Amino acid sequence: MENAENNSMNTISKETFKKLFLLYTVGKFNKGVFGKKRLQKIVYIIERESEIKPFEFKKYLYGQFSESMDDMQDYLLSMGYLIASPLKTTSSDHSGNLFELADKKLIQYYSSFMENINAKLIKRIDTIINNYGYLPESELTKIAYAFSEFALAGWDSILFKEELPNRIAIKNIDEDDIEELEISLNPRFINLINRMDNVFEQDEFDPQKVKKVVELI
Amino acid sequence: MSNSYKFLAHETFRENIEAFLRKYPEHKHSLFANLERSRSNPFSGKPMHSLKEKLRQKVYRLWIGGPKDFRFIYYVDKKNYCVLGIYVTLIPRPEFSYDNDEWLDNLENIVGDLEKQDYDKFEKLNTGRAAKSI
Repeated sequence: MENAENNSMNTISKETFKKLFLLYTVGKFNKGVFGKKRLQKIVYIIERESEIKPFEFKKYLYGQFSESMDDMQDYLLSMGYLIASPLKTTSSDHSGNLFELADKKLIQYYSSFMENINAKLIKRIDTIINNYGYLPESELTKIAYAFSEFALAGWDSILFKEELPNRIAIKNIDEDDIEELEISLNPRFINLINRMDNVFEQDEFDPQKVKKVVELI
Repeated sequence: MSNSYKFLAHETFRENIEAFLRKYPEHKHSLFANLERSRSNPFSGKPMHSLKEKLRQKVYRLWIGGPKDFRFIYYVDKKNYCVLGIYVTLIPRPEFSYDNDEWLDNLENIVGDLEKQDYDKFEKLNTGRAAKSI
């Protein structure tokens, strides 16, 4: 991945990239992600084979876990970009929630950015999801626990740290589109604009009652 | 009764544009022209297709100066025929990060006073005459 801090190429912030990476990854599970633990393990496998590491992972009781990724997933759920629904199965292999993109059409949009950031990375994500994404959970866990860096690490120790530059270069995408991505993936903006929209949609604020008129000079 | 749009500004947005004009007086014409454009032709700004569907035709952006200069972001309330100024960036876009909290603190003030129905914090801006007079 190109660090663009010192050149004039268009860039996105690393926080935007992390959200984009997670949305793209979830979106590539064509039947949705069967549970949070599965997503954690898949992202771990993607990151361990890549020089791009959006999230730090630690060794926890239930395996490889990234707290920052878990927080990011919650942000995306509260922003309405991801949806969670209970898994309709009795199998212990698929417990918990199903996670999906709220608007599945947006996978094309996320892909267009990812391709222009690092085409190799998206191939790796796609391959890993194809190979591991729908394995029975017990099998996936066995594979994840067998990685030597995990087996040898002590509890709560860092398996690998986040490795991303502050700004990430992106080719062939114009400034307007990059800006839109940054704004639309900012959780605080989304929360505030939703609140603003609710005020007007629910007629809680009547612009007719604004009496002061100012001449702009 | 005319259905032309009104431009609504919170006092934070007024302070925002005053700060912009102190810093970049040479962009006064472009600022006023774009404030007027947002009011007279609100849907001519750049929309945000990646937002959730209900917000897609409500948040727009215009450039002040030229592309990659300064962004003006606004919200359109179709029901009440009003445009609400959100923010004008105070540094050129390549250096401006939307992860910066300052612009969101401004938006938080605006939203807070909308929710409190604090009408005294808002004013209708007459943008047309100013845009024509420069």
